[in-house]
Amino acid sequence: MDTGLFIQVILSGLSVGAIYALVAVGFGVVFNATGAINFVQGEYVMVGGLSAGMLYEAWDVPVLVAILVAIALTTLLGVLTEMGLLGFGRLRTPASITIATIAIAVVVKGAAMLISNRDTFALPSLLGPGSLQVLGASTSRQTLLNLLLAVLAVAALTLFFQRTKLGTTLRAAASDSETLQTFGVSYRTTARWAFAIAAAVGALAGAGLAPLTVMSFDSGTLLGLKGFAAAMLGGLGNPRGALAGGLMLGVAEAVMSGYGAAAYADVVAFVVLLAILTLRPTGMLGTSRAVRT
Amino acid sequence: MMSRLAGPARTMSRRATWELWITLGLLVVLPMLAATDYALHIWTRMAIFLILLTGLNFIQGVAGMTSLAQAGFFGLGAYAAGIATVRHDVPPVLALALAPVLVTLVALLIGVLSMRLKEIYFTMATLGAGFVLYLLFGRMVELTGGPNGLVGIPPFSVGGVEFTEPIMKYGLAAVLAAIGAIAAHNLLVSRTGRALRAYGASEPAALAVGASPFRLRLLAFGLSGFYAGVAGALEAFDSRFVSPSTFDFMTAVLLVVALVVSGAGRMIGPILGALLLTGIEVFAADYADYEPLIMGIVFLVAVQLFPRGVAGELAARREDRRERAKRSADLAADVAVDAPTTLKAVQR
Repeated sequence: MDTGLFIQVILSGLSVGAIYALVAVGFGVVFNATGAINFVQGEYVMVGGLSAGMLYEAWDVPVLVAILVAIALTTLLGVLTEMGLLGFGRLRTPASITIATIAIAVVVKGAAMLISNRDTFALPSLLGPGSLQVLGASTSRQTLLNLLLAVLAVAALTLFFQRTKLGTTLRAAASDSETLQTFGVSYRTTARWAFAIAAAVGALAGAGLAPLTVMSFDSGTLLGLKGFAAAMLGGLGNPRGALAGGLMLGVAEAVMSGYGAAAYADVVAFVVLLAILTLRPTGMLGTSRAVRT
Repeated sequence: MMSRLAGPARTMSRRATWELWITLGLLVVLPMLAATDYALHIWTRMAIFLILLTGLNFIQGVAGMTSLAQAGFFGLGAYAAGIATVRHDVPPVLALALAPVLVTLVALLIGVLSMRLKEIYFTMATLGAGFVLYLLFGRMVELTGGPNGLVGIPPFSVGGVEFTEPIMKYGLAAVLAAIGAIAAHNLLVSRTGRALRAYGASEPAALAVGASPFRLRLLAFGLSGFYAGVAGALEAFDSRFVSPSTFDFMTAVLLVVALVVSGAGRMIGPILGALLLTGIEVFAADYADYEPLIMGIVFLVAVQLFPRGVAGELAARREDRRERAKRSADLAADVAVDAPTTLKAVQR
């Protein structure tokens, strides 16, 4: 076997896998706070990447500024998502919230299609265009940045959930939201924070993805679903599990496309999703939450 | 059998029978209202949607589990019928009979793997299964024609008679949709159907009386696959062309939302949902660019206004009123019965 090619494949897998990991983290945060699966998660990535790309390409905004503005915009979208879901006071069960997130995802995608006029946008890498040499294989510098982003985001969120008051509140909401409400903590406030964090992490993923591939209004759906597969693989709601699941999924896909079956690379995520749900639905690092009836 | 049913079960089965008659009536009346070639084409689409949603209603409405695999099953039926007739010269009648069998087997396989999961995880498993099917339609280029689609599907034919006239296509789809609706009705009011429904309402209660949720749900999922297979084969012979985009994630979502908004679990749900989907299709042709945005907003509003579906919401409100009336009557009776005792206690 050609080791150069092998390392190349692994590196490109890690690069995309880091993005999946960030998406998976977002799913986990909202799931913990509401018990629902947030189908808008993939659209946050699209909005983050697309708006950063538009700001940079169409309005000549410096890359870093474009990324920060895009993250701010997407975080706002996260807050709006919460308002659209829970602001009417009628949706309470995770299943009905999940269905409503699909509707919001369709709205966001439809609006992005009109705003972007179906054009595609991209970003340059923050570390410049050069490539890195690793063990005889070359990879873009963005690979390094994405891995760093994913690890830092997971570390920061872990610290946030363990060490801050708000983080502890969010964890409490995950384990027993009703008891928490008797302590005077509003369900909606915790939910709003969860959606805002999920959206910000999603936008970060978008900014990391835009230098690797062009972004368009329909980049989000498939990405979101793959991120969900990664979340399930690692254990939904567990940030470290999300990191592990994302990287593994990215590498598995890269191996699939690197060794002859590129057409079927997209199938990997869904086969993984089916397999993990069948064999170990709590995921590799998940706790023993009841997932079977 | 029917006479042994009492109370709510009898009301339910009577209501289901009424709703079946409305469904069958619409299948007869609609083509009389507009019978141009274009209109008949639209009604044929509606009949195909009706079959799809009647199938989805078993798992979504009756068993109470959201399946996002219905679009994939629909596609599998269409591709099975298309590939059999185009690549292997199978007679269309045989293809129409075999496609649902294949889809049922695939549905049962997926069901065996995922049916023990809790609702939301089951939904994600069906999403995964539907997506694998959708991706395979586009990627197995040799077999399916890939993203460009499968062309040259012959029209449906029986004994040398080709179903090319719009009225014949509609007749075929409508007859199958009617048979499907009648079969669904009979199952729904049967013992099995009531057991299945019990899981939608309360799983612990069903377990307590010793029924097996796994086998009943598997039955519901298999049936949803069978109906999707019939609808898929009809779709292939109607359009005579199939391409992956017809069976994407959006279609899976649309089917679920249309059924939920119309009233999942009710006999009337599928026909209302089918009319809604047909309306969307006609409307979408005119406003292609704004379609996703408007559709998303409409769905969000619908889900917010009718979390239990239009039919379900109306029924729930009626029941609420009845419940409240009954409760105040009970309260009045209690007060009347208790009054002498209370009086004595006070006097003492």
